[in-house]
Amino acid sequence: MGFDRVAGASAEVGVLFMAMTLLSGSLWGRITWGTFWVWDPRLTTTAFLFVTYLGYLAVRGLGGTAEQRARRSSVIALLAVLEIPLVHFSVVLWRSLHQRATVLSPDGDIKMDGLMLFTLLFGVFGFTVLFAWLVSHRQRIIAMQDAQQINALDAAVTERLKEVQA
Amino acid sequence: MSHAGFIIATYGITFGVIIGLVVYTIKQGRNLSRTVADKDKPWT
Repeated sequence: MGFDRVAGASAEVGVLFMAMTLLSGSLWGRITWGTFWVWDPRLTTTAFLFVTYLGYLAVRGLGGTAEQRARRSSVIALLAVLEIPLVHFSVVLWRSLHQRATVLSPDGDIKMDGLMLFTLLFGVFGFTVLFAWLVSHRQRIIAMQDAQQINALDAAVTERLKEVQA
Repeated sequence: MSHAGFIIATYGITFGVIIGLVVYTIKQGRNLSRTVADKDKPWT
């Protein structure tokens, strides 16, 4: 169940990071493109990924035992993870308003000013560390919620047995 | 400076959400740890 908890915690934090990306990205788009939103391939695939992971979290919240939750949500997770390369390659596969890949471009050339690249990589490092910290704590919270649910069920079963025996 | 509002809003959203999530996670963890036995917290 450990991997399922890490997957659930990663999805929780990832969904929030994606929401921040979509919100702050739309503000950047208003300055750069003159509009908050366009149905551009990169934006659309990112929004689709966001909605898919919201669905993943909704499936996790359906109830049942931890084993049932893990089996059910892993099916959604296996489908959702296929969308990640689609988001990355969306600017290569289709003509788009969004700029093409600037760091991980197919020709291997980084098309970015040095100071801007440093700022980007510094941000990537900072957010990766933050993500790891949040996931490590959120998966402990899921573990405690699971333990709480099992204890509550055990207590309810014991009480019911006492009622039957009385 | 005509874009200052957008830049401030972006920083506000980013740091606001991060601080909110960190505080929520710490509070939720502390509350849960009071109700769960130590045997269910192998990391402690």
